[in-house]
Amino acid sequence: MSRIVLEGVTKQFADETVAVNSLSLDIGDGEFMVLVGPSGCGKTTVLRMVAGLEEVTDGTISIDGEIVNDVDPGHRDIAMVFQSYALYPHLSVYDNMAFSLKYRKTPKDEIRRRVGDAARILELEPYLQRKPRQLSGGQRQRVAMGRAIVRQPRAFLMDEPLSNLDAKLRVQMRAEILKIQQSLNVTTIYVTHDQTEAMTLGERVAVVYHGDLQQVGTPRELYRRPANRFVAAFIGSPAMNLIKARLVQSPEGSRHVVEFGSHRLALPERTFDDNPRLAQYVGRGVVLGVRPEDLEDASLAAHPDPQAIIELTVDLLEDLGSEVDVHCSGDLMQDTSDVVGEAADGSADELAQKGRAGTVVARMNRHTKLGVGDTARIHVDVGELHFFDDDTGETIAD
Amino acid sequence: MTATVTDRSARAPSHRSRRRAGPLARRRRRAGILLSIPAIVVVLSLLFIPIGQAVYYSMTTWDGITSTWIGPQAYVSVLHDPTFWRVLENNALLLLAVPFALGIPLILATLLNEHVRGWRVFRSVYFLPTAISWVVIGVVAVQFFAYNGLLNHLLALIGLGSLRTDMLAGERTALLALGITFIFSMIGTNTIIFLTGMATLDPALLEAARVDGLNGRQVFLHVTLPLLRRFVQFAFVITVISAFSALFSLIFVMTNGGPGYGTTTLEFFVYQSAFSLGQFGTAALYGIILFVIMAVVGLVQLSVIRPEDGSSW
Amino acid sequence: MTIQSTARRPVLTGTRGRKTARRIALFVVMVVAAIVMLYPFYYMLNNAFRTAAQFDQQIGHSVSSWGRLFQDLPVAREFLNSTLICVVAIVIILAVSTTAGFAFAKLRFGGSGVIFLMVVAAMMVPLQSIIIPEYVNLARLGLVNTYAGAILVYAALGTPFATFLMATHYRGISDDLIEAAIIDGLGYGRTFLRIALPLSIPAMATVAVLQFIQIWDDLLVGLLFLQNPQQRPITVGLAALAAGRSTSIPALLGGSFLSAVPAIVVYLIFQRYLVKGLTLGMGK
Repeated sequence: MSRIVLEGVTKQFADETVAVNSLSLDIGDGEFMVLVGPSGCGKTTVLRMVAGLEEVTDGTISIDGEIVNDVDPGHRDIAMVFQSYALYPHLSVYDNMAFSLKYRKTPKDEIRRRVGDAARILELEPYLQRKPRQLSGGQRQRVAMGRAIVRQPRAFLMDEPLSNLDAKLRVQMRAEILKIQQSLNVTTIYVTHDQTEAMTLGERVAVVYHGDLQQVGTPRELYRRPANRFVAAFIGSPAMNLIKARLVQSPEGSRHVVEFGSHRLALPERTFDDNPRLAQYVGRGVVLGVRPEDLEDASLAAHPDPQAIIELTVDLLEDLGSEVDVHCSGDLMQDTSDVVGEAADGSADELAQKGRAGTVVARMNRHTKLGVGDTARIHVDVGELHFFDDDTGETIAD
Repeated sequence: MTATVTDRSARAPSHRSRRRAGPLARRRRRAGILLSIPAIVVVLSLLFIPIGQAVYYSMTTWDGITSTWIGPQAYVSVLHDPTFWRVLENNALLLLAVPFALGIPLILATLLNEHVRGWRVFRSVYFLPTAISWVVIGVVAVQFFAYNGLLNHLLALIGLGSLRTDMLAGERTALLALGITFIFSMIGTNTIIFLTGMATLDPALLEAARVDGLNGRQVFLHVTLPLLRRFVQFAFVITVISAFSALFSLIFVMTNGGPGYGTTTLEFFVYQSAFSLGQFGTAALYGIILFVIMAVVGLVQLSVIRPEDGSSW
Repeated sequence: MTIQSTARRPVLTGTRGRKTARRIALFVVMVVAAIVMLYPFYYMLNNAFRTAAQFDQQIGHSVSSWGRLFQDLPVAREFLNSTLICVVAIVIILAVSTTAGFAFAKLRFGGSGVIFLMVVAAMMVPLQSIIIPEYVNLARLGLVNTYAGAILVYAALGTPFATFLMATHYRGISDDLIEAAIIDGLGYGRTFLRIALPLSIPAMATVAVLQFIQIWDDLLVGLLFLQNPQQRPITVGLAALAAGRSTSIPALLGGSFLSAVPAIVVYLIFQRYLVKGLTLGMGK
């Protein structure tokens, strides 16, 4: 059993900055847990605390029920894969992988067996006698993984292991890592800033921001039911459109409406019944969230809802081949808070935010005939709308 | 298992953080102390303590047998000693060699930087004199400056035979000979320093200047030199320090401090006072003065170079 | 219609010609400088193969002065002494500076910053300032006129800069490597021995080369601490010869050349490390 439990884990550095704020997480045996968040959010610090490389200021970390706060990293029976791979430059691939085993007095044939197995799984057999500098980035990454596998540890800790690879290789290695983890069934904590990686790899994903755990759940849960606008904007690419809006109650029989700028959308009929909290926000400002993939060229929509169409001007088209990302602008106000900025494009940059204000991104069917400057009639899937409290950022739901 | 958290949660941690260092930090600290002790012991016992002792000796009139305490007064009285000023004067005059010891290597480095065919060979050659002992150079220098030596031969060759002298026989001329030899030895070191500096220059900067219309000389003066500033400073400091403390062997072999006090520099006088004249107290005094001068030079270097660097430690 | 051929450019005018002429001029200047630099060696070798009389006249060659040299100086013995002193001092310096350098660079402990600065600041201490107390101290310990005394002084003089160099080098080693070793179960001591040390061989070579040249070429320490002819290093022997009255100049030149050979050889072989070492002091 290699269950890892973090309870109220806090990390405060000497200069009073709080990197991790009372984070609690329960990782099951054999689970692949991804910690994701923008740079500097504290996810790596959490990983290093589990490894024992950073001291825990407050809270406890336990592995297999045993509290390991004061246990030496070398004795926690965990293996770590570093972003920089941390391969010993003066040792061969074989020696790199055998290194820790030698120090744990493992018998020679056992070492040979384990390294051989790992080398086979990772297709490193032809390179065993080479030195790291003679290997490509991808090969080095695999050696780093091999070093961890050979340890047969209770848990794998991976710190952005794929960040230094080019895009194609990254996609390839992602699948490899998943396969390996599933076949070995070792508890894994994987840190990344790339939400795509998180979504494809994680059994469960923990979103971290500014040292706080924002939400933990399966990728599907995070996508469909984000807990707050940070998670909403962070998960999914292109990022969810977050627009300042007002809810309007319509008289009995008609559908309620959400207005933003000069646009209005009719909400599905049972909206306030299904979500009573939302009803309390009538007449108040809310933040409306709609994903680009839920916006479509009205002329190509399968079953268009005539009360769910808005008109915007096309500014820019990004033709991806499989679909077209259409950037439009209209009389509306995006949520330009720092939180959203950091979630959407990793920065709270003012210029980027200015550029985003008033812009909506729609992911349309590749057959759309829209061009720059056109007035687009955009159909909104109002069943997939999200609402957030403008002050707290929390999702308005039960 | 979906935790609902607002995206703007409280900053402050719930309890006061405990400061007890974890086991890893303790291990690291212990290892750090253990590993650095040998060096600390060596430096302490063989460098710092002797300096302290030297300060003590400097304030006595110790001649190896008897010792009388003078106290800080010793430093004041030395200022009245004409020998002190003579010795200091010699050092100051030698400092006049520094510009040459910097300028010539600068030129050589510029030449080498052009990477003419075989430049690496030239680089090795220029550095050779630095690798050999000052004793050896001194021996050759004595012959060079001698009455029958090469210098006079060259002068005769170009028609200045009337200037024929034995440079090492005159006080001032001996100092000059010393200075020239000093420059010769420093060329290697400084050339390497400047060459390395030039290698670190981003060629794009020089090209940008060229495109902006500067000619060769202007590029050198206004772009290359300023960028080399750190290296020039470094070479300057090394050269000055050498001028104060590395000439002992040269002097010993070439002139033994003479004629008279002609080539007795501060560092040589320390040796002379102690082992020729038997005045350990005086020797220690001059030794400390030498140290102070070096320390000042070193500190000046640190404060001048630092601000541009940003913190490196 | 055939293509008109362009008029042929004269070779020596225009940019290309100027460039070549310039390069030739550069080359000439560098050769002249090289001659000047190499002259002492030529001079020594040339005149070492002369008798005293031939030296005065500056003509003729003979081997006899070499015999004279070996008569006047126990050359082989002194070479051995220099070598012994160099090697042992360098070993001590390396042992002390690698450990301390690693500690200061990677194993930060309370006050290590200050202590490091002080160790490095000790570079500023000139030998002359401390020879007297050094002499007195070592005399009291009975270490004057022993190899040990001189070796200790050389070790002390070389340690600050060596420590600085090694610390700078170790600083460049990624923390990840060390953390990986810790996770693999090594203690810090073992990590130093198995990971850091092997990776610092180039830096150690630099230290060794720099120190070798400095110690081999040094006069003062030998003069004071190794007076007796049995233990004299070669520089002291030469200095004594040079100060002598009835010295044969050719013999002296021959001895000088011989003593320069090891330093030159070491330098030529390890040039790379020397250059790196010199420039590391710039606090990049």
